[in-house]
Amino acid sequence: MIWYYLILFIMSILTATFSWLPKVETLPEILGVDIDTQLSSGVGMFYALTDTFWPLRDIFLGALVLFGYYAVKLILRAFLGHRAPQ
Amino acid sequence: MSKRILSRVLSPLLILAVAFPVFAATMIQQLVKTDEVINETTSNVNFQNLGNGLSGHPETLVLNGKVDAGTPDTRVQVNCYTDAGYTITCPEAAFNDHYFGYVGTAPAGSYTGSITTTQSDRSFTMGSTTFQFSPSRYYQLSPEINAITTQHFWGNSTGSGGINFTGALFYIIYDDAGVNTATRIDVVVPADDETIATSTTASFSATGYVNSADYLDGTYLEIRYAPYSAGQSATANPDLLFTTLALPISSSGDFIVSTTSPVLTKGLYTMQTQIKTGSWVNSVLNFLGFGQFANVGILSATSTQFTAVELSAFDIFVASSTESINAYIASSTVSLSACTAWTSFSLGECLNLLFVPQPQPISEALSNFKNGFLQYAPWGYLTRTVVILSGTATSTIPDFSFMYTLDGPTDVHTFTLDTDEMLAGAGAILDDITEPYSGFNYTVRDVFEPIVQLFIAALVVLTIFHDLMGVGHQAVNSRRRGQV
Repeated sequence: MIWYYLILFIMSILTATFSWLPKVETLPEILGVDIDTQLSSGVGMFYALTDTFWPLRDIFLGALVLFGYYAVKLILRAFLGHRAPQ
Repeated sequence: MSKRILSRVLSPLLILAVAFPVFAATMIQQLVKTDEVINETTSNVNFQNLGNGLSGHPETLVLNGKVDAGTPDTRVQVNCYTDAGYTITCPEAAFNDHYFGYVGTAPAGSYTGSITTTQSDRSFTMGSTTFQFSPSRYYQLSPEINAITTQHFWGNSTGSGGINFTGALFYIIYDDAGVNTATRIDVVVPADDETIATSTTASFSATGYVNSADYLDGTYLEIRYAPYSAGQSATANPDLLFTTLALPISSSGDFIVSTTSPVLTKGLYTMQTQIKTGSWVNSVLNFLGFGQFANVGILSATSTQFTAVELSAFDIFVASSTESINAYIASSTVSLSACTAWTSFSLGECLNLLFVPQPQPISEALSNFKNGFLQYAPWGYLTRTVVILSGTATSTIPDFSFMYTLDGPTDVHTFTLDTDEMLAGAGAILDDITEPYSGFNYTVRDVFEPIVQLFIAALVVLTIFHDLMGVGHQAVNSRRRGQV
């Protein structure tokens, strides 16, 4: 429970601090193009393709994990500056 | 030693001598219906395949009767049920709605018909379909006459078609092929000469049958096993070398008993399995440490051997990891009342609750964090993108069309590529390619997907590891400093 309350404390502070920011429910429209719908249907088509050519999905998910790692690194660097792990 | 050899030679002969009269094949006739009106909508014939513990099987279905009029083309349908109430259909579709056979076409007059099925190892061929009767299931014979649901199978005919069986006798002949009602041990696990992989314990089990005449309260199955040693017979008290398991048999009839027990030494084991009745003589001998002489009331016995080998390192790792995770989950489901309620206060569990992360509340907290903080702009756009990319829903791929002309500008044709159909066709071709060696017809995907996933996962992990350890950066920095 100590861990739970610690996590809850940190997350509550973060949520409360930035609660004045607008919430993003969908991706925006740019020049009349609904990016959210287009991206959703595009990814859906890609997954339909990977139902047959299954290695593509594994490669895609592997790349997604890797990009996630780099995104976390970028966020940490933005918050911690030079103290972030290199 | 000579006594041991003599015993080994005589025991099988004795068992054969006792068992032979029991195994002599006999024919059992089970009358399932006689001289009663039966039609396919109201009167079905229910029967159980001889009952628990017997292994006979129906061979011939006999119908004796008289056809007063008409030309019946009669067949009998067999349905299977799992309870005596005949309400539950067996899960195996193959057991249901199969025709036992045709009585055939008979003219008016006296008639005796029989359906002799083709028997092969308790299987029956009915037309082109083969199925197997099970002693633990219930069956129902349903008559059907020319697929007309109102006609009688025998008795007084009130249906159309002029078909009328009278004085019918309906029974099944079982060829028991040696119905075995002897007290016996059928299967032991580990099986004879089996090699088992273990790190600490192994599973021991046995199935068999105890005749009701042999059964007494306290009847049990004894499994004794010990690492095989040529010097066993020279040991003063070899019983001490054995691990002995006593597994109660609760009633006569079929029995299945099982347990787990330590197998710490690797190598060859000898194992003795016996059905025993409770005996004070055995108890006293066991108490005094002379269990090797506790041979009173042995109903059946078998001797086998097995080999214990080490689990592979990977198996041990997986097992221990699973145990750790299970232990973690078990320890992290402590009730809050261990800390808050005086009546159920437990200092140990309260400390556990304080320090061991609880999966449920933490996952709820993370979920709230995702739906709160992570959705705020501008990083909420990234969150939304990740949610879309990591989804599993599929969309229909649009068709591709183009127009072309053949004979002049007015002769316009449209060519359309149905992408989904093309993909389905490609998928069907890929799934048709199977390997012929294992007997399981694995497809290309079955064979290669684990390898591809392992390769990609290893690549991702190595890339992250490489980045975290800074291997590349260190070399670049060293070159910049002129150290290389």
